[in-house]
Amino acid sequence: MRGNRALDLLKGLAVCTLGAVALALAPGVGARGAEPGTGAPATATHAEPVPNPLLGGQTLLGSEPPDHVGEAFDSDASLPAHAKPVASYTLSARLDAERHTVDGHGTIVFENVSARPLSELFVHAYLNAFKNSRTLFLRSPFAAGRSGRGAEHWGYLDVTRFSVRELSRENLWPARGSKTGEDPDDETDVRVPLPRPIAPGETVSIDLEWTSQLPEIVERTGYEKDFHLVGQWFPKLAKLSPDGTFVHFPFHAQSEFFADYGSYDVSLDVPAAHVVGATGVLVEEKVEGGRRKVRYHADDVHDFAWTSWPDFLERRATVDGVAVRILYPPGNETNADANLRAVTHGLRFFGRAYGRYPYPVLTVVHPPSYAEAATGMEYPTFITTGFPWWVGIVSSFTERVAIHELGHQWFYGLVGTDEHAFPFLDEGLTTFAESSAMEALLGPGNGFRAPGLDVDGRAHLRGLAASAGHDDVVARPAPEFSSFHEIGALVYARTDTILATVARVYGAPLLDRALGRYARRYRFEHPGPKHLVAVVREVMGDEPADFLARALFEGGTVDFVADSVTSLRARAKAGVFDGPSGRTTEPAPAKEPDRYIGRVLVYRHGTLRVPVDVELRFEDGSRERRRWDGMERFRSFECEGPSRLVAAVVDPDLAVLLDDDLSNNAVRSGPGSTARLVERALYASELALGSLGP
Amino acid sequence: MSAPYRKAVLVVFAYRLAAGLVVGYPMARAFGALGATSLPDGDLELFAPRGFRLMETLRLGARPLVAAVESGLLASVVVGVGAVVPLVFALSALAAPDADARSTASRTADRLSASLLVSGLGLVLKAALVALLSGFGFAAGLAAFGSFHDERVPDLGGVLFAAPGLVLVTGVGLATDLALAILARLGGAALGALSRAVSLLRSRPGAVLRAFTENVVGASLLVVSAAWLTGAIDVSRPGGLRIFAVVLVHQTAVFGVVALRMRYFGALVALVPEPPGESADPGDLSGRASGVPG
Repeated sequence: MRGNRALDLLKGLAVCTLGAVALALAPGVGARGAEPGTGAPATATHAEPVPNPLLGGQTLLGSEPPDHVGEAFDSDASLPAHAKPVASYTLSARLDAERHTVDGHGTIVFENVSARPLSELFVHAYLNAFKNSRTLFLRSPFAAGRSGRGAEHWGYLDVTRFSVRELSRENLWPARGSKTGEDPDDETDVRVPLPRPIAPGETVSIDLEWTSQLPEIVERTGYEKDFHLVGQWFPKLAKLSPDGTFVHFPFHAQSEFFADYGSYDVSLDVPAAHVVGATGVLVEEKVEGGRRKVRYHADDVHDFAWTSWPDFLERRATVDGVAVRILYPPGNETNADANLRAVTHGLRFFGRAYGRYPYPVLTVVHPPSYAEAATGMEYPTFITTGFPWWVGIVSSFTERVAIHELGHQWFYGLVGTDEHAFPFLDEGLTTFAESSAMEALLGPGNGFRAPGLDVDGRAHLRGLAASAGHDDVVARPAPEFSSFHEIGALVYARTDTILATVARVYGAPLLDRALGRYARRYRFEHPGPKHLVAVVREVMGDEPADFLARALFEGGTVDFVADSVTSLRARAKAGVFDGPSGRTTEPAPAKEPDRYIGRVLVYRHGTLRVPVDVELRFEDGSRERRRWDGMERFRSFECEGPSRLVAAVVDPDLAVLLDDDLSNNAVRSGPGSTARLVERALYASELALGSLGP
Repeated sequence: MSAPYRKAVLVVFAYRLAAGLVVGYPMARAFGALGATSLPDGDLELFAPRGFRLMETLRLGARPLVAAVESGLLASVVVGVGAVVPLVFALSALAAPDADARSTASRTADRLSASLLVSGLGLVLKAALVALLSGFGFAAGLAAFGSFHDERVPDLGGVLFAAPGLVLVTGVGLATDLALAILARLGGAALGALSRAVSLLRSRPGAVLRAFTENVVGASLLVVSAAWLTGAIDVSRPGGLRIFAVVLVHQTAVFGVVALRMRYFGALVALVPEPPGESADPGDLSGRASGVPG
């Protein structure tokens, strides 16, 4: 999900620092961890307490990473054809577009793929996050969630039937633990006791009936006028772990989702005038009795969302066999073009990097401007983008958001990580993928471009990463971050900066290979952070992997400082010398040699050790590069030559983007020129005064 | 270029240059001191492709930069008010082309307070009109076109509704300029000059608009050409000569903009009927009264 967070970031690029300001203005909360008023610590609601996330202890995948993944996963030949279906949904839903309700019924086919009998099920009723002001989501000091707004009209999910055919015909819902764990006010995480355990390997069919009251759009679900974006709208089983526990959690304003793979077959019944877009392939459509009835089918996915609005225009294209469908509001043709251009590039770029896109369809929804809160969200084969009609004309922001959300098809969709426990695995990796794709699409200046000024999106992200929480841990559960500002800085921006640093220092091709191997190996699986680090170690070696682990798990920082540069005229050998043949005196020559000795002193602050280049600049214009392994706290570089040493730069190529402060990376013997700045300021002032003055 | 016209252009350009330095130099130095001065290639590296150092300077220097910009804005107000002095001197030179420097200075002092009042009133009125008419116009446009499904219609409709307000603002600007010309030519009080300016604008709209349009179009062409030229010179590459060339291009553009503006004011001065006892030809546009070549 990027949403308004993404909009803030991208708008910020246009004015260089506005994004940071906007993030700084985001309402925050107190200390992380157990947050008064926001609920219990994030990990407390897991079936099992999440152990120290430092490179292990996750129950995901049920084991430590394999010793060896192997080069086979560097190509698409290794890709699995399908996911192991654990929870498959066959649903029917009818939208009342006036009351904004969805009446649904259907069946979940669920297999206990764990090693233990299940005596209970956990069901997420995410829509209940918007039921009243006391839910975990809405009682938070920043109750608006990522979308920047709270619920205008309450939204909730009423389950009227939940029965397991193989166990009994009894409706089990009334006997549920009515509230989320020990939280008396939240109903988003529901425990359903079973009359008898579901044995390992046993498959059961769960019959459902429910009604969803959609809220005015909050957190990318709900309605605005007659526009509907319907996500997290049905009772959804929590993710089953191999050890027989469920990864379940209440819907926190800073968190997203986690679920098992399966197939979704969903029939939708909406007003005939509405245009529908949804996860998966449209397999059936008919209009009868003033209603449009459509059926969508999707295999190998872990969620299903849809949209319904009468005014959608439609653009279709086929990109390397994928049927792309853009739904957009009238007047947004330029945005539609931008979206199509972005996903065309993205499907190819991400497909090459992380394994081909396996689905036959992709639906891109550009919501109307009055439904801005619906922008920037990812669901399997279905993404939402955003921005007003003119943005696609004057900037690349529309493309950036579309590429980001498309990137989630890999880091969220195909590699099904736990968005609640480790949001950096989806948002962080996707931001890195987005930056890389934008770089490939637009080159330098992919963030902001003006005459004589090119700014990369990554330059903005780097600044954001350095400005907030720069020494805090990236790899931790979403609710443990102090604010959205911190999530933006750490989960999105710092992960991108960390990975960019790994690429620039240790080799971009190697990191690309590592991420590609990780994405292919864990397609349709649920890896944790340790799996990512293990693949990086396998491909790139211990040093980059250790750097990555420290930066992600320990809040590692680094700041190189070019402290001083000195240069003196070299002196010829002269003075009194004692040797084997006795004392000798060598007189000073009449003229000292025309040579200079120089010294540069550089420091490394912080806990991260990373190799770096140091460039020595001489008066005659010559340059000399020295390599420093960055292991010591400081290092002195000496030189001798015919020209005076006048300046030095640590990391002249800006490889270590994680460097906390780039302004102290250079030192020179005299002040540098600011002629360009003065010239520009003078001209701008003269023109402005011409407008201001009489 | 006649001597009075040349004098007018030089005085206003010299003031513009000095004022630009007063406003711009401290901001540029403050910005440069945030890191550029320690870089081997100075501020060249701030404009390197990808913008990492530029963004870092903005990040680290946000607070001092805001303070510097605030100071610059304050200085802009002061030098903006002060700009009335050289302008009135220039208009006096154009209105009395045969006067020597001492007489022109005396004429300037005589008309300064009324000209300041006219300029101030004009500025306040324009700002108020922009805020009120444009705001209401845009809101009315949005309200009128808000029900259209095409999302462009309400926004463009708002602009359409706001346009008349902007035309009115331009009209106020023209009346203010005419009042300054009248004061330069005839002297008198500010309100009287404004009143006569409105009458003159109503009686000779074509001549005023032609002069204004020539000024605006010419100045726009100059600025755009300068942008194109400096883009081609590309100071993001090393070389002191490049900076010198850009300085030359930009200052030539500013000089040209000032020259066009003085030509415009010269045309306005020429539109002002001569006081009783002088020429009997109030519509004389030959430039004799304005010092501007015909």
